[in-house]
Amino acid sequence: MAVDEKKLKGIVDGIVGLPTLPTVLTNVTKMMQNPRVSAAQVGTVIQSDVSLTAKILKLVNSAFYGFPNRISTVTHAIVILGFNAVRSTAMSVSVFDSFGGGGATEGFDRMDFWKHSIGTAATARILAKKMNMKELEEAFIAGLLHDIGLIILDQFVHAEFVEILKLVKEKDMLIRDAEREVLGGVTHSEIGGWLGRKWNMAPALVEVIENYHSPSTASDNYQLSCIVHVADLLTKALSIGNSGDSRMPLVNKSAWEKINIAMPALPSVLQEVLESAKKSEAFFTMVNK
Amino acid sequence: MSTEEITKLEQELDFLQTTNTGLRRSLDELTILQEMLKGISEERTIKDIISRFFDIIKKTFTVKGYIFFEKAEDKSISPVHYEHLTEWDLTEKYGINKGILEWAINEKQISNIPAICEGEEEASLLMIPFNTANKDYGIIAIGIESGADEALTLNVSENLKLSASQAATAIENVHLYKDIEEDKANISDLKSLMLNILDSLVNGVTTIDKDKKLVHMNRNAYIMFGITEEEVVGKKYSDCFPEQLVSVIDFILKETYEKGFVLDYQVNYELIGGVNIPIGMSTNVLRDDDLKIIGVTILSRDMTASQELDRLRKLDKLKSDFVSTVSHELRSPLTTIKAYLDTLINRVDEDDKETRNMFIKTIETEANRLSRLIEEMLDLSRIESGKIQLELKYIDLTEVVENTVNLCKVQSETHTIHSDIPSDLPKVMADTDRLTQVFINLLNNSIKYSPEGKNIWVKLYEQENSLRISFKDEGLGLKSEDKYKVFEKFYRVDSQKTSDIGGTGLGLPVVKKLVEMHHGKIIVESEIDKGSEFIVVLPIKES
Ligand SMILES: [Fe+2]
Repeated sequence: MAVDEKKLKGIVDGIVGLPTLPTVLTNVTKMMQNPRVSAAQVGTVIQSDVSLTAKILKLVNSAFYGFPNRISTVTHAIVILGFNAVRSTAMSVSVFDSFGGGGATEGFDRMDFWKHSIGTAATARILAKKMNMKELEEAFIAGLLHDIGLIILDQFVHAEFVEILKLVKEKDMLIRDAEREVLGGVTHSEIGGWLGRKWNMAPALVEVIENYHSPSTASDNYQLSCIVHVADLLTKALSIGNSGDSRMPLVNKSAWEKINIAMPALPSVLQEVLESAKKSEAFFTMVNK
Repeated sequence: MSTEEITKLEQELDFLQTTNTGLRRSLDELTILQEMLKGISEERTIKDIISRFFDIIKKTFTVKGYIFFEKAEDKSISPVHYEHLTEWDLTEKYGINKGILEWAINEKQISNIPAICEGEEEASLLMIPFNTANKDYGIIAIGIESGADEALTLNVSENLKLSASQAATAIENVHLYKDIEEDKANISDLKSLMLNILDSLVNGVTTIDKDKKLVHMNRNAYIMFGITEEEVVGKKYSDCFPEQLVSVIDFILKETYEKGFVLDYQVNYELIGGVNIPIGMSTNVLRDDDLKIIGVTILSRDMTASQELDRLRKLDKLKSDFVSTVSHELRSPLTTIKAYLDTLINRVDEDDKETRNMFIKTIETEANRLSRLIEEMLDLSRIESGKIQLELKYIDLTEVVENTVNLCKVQSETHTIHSDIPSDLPKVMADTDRLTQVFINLLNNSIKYSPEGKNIWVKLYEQENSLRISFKDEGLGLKSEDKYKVFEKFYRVDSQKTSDIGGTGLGLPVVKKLVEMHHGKIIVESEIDKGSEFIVVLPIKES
């Protein structure tokens, strides 16, 4: 469905005071455009932000990455876990810093929302690993941010968002359908995509945020979209957190086939998802500020 | 534009230039790397792949050595290939334990672990797991001199991932290749086992497809059909089988397709060597997995063995029949002798000479009969077991027949024996003693079964390339159903008139056997109450 660009513009133009990404993260992203950048160089830049460094070290030493020994510097974190893992922890921390707190909207619990997002992120990473993809961290971040549009709506388009939640509750609608009704065809996906562009996120990431609910086979990032689509549903199915829906959306058949989880293997995958949600506890503690 | 803005732009430009240079150099490196990676996929052993991979790493890092740990099916990991690096180094210098290696394999994570021991701060250990979408194959740990911080750039880390994935694919190919080779070996082992099993069968197995082409023949099928051609498989049987066999196969294939099978179809098939062996052929249609008929399998049995078995079975039965009959036959004269002796000793007065003589005479007759019986029995068994060899010579039958007549004339003065024995007949190949035995037996029979005073004719003549000796009497004669039964062992014509005549029941069987040994036969002409004629027919062979 073609989204009404005007409608979207109308909504986002009303947004005032949108947080920006920390300079450090912007710089790191920029540095990593140069393939010859060294772990030491990236490490030094991140270490200039003491608070970020502390949080990153906490995350890389958490059960989520599971490295048996202690990692004591960001540079070490980079050489041991890779550039992307460290960047994705930095990204997570920044997102939590920007949108973590506040919001006591009825029918939309922020803590539940982040639980769902972190759960989807961890699940997407598992699925990507299962499919032997190289871009595990991209899958993680895409999972983490796939519903970020909901936060924007809650924080900056609050009146409409309350109306949307009311519709969901009273008419037992899916949040996506309620959004379309209230926002004239626009959903949190488009809002999330808009934020991604504003934050100079990788085009692939933006595309996945916009399309994960019905992955398009024509897309260059079809596989990643499928991963996030399935990860979102598995997380919902296991009631890890909540992102506003009380009903399960339908699973996209071709996306499910693309992920290719054999039915007999499903219980063990679900078990893995639950375990990994538990292991990603450290991320959740970052939200609470 | 303010100075500040200019400075910012200059910085931006500087950054872009650096990035650009970096990208270009990386591209060059990547090209070289790809060239090197091609070599990896050509290696045929895991050791070679690992060492080739190590060579690639050497281009980027100053290396000390490596250990390759293989991940086994049971998920355990163990070091299999080394170069200048030991497990001790791993633990002592880098603090690496199995746990970390397992972590890296499970996380599919390329990792660079800084050294922990003093004075080695700059060194580090590069751990690169090799895995494909299907499987983890293991991990290589490479000791590098330079510190990880500077050496491990984003580019290098990407290149490592690429190289590792290429190496993993190469390793997977080696495994797959090995699996395929093993499968092939297994299948070919199984095939040769099946062929050996088929060859070990004592029966011939021949499989012919719907196009009448030979699909398979086991060793014995070749032998039984006398096929000397090396390879007939794939050819039509009509092109490589002897004519006689082709018509047999044509017939049984037709039968099989009509009825589904053929059971023990008997063929007397002459091999190329001229040996005639009886073969029993049984067939069944051959179907594929979808039960579609694709041909016929023929099982050929050499029936010699089973016919021989049949013969032995018959012989065995004969033997036991014989024993029971013989013991009966021996018992009756013995019983008579014993009874007469008992009476003679206990009841007959010593002075009653007349009665005593009568008893002694009877005992003598019975004893003679017993002795004759035993003699004939031995004769017969010697003949039957092939122990009697004829002493064949060209002899003149005239003399033999004349001698017989003269011998028998003495025995009976009451019968008139007419003889017609010409002396210009051809000689025959025969054993004089045995033929004499035959003739005496026959002539004695004629005398025995003819009332006193009757005529007996003995005649020697040539007819239809044979010499014939006829013994004709005016005796009791035989019923037509008894005519040839008289040649069976212990067969007695059951009649009031014959009950007094003491015979062993073995005379004629012996006669028949002896004549047959001479390739001759006996013809019987007889009419009840009128008389019988026994004609011995002996073939005349050109000398
Ligand atoms: Fe979601």
